[in-house]
Amino acid sequence: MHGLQLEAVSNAVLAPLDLSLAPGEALAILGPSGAGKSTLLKIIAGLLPHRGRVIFAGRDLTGVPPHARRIGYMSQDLHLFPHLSVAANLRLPLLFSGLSRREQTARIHRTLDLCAIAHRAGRRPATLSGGERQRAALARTLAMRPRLILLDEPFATLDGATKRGLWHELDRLRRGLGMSALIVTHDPEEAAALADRQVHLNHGQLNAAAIGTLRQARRPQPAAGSAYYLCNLHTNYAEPQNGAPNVLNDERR
Amino acid sequence: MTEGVLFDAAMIETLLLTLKLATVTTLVLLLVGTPLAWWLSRAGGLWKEVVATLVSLPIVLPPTVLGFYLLIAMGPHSPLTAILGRKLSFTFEGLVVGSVVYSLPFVVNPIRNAFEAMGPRPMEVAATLRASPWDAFFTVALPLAAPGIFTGAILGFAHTVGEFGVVLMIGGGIPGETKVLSVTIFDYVETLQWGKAHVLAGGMLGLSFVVILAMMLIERRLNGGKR
Repeated sequence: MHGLQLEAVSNAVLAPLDLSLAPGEALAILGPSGAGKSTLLKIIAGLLPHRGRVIFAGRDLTGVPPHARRIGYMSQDLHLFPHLSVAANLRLPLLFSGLSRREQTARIHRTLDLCAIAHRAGRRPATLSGGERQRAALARTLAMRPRLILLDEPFATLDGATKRGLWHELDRLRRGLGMSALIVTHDPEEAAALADRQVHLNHGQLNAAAIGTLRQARRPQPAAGSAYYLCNLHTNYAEPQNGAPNVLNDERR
Repeated sequence: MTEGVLFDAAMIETLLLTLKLATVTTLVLLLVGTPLAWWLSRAGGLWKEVVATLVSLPIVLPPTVLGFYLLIAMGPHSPLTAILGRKLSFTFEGLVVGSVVYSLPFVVNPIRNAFEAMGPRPMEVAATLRASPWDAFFTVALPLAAPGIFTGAILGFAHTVGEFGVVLMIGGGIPGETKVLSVTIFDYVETLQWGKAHVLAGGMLGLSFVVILAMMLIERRLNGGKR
């Protein structure tokens, strides 16, 4: 079980809330600015102190430092390290994974390919376009092959056409890698495109009445010939079928 | 007094001793100053301000005052001498200790500024990428603060080369042991050897100009040519 469970989680911004996320499920957290959405993600990532319990994959994360949580986190500001190339940004989390140098390099190339950013592997972040930086940051988060990814308004800075293309590709990639996801957004269209379920957060309180199931039919597809493919997962990996072993499970370290 | 050749073996010995002192002092300053700067950039409370004030004292204290207290601290009757079993005053090691104290703010403050300018985000992001605080310090914080560390190293080196009051107080002028460039220039002027004083003083002026210019150019490069 790699699901996430929040039990009476609260802090100065958030009222006590309970929430659960099934393995492989994607949940969108909607709400206005200042509602506490980013705060909730930071709590789960271990970056903010809180009351209550965060349980992930059956393990109580209370007191577990962020680096030991094995949760991927991508913030709105992306924060690619400017002194490192794209490939070196991806190598950073792998340095602490126990993989050999060769395995790290193979993982980096595979992830860069998946996210269609391999052609920028040697470039510094400052020289990339907005969309390329987005891909590079996502690739860095995914390079660790976390079971859970936390995405804080991942595409907020991109124009509509670019992010619509990316939504579809991110969703395919997440499913292909068998990851759960919590996605903070204030865009209902983005929530519909990326998540199986959504909750609303307002003034630090979960609005239970607004908890709902989205799913399938409403998900927009990218326009044919879109130049904004985040990854080419469909050419490399098949999506897992009803609990079938995932093609990348052997990579999890 | 009449002057012989303008550049002799004694001057080379002085020059090498000065460069040796500046190099050793800079290395010690980086080893001591970097963790101190990190702590000052991250800590809170009154202790931080007290330590920051102590670090910055050499900026405002007359070198003779600092030298006087260092001389007492490293003299034959001090507790430090009792612990070490030998006195540090009028030795090369004593000069290193004095130079480290005297140049500490010139190294710590630029590095601290670099760490503070970085903010908490890089360390947070590194933590979400599995880097422990120790790993994140070496893989993220130090490289991001490289321009500040570089500036601190250059300032520490140049400041040590140019110091006079402190080294005179705690080192005197023992040839080959504590007689550095600035003390030698003072001796030449006192004994009216203007030519030799010109050679060393001009050399120091040129060296200082080259060091500061190199620092500016390299810092500009480290900052990606933004300045």
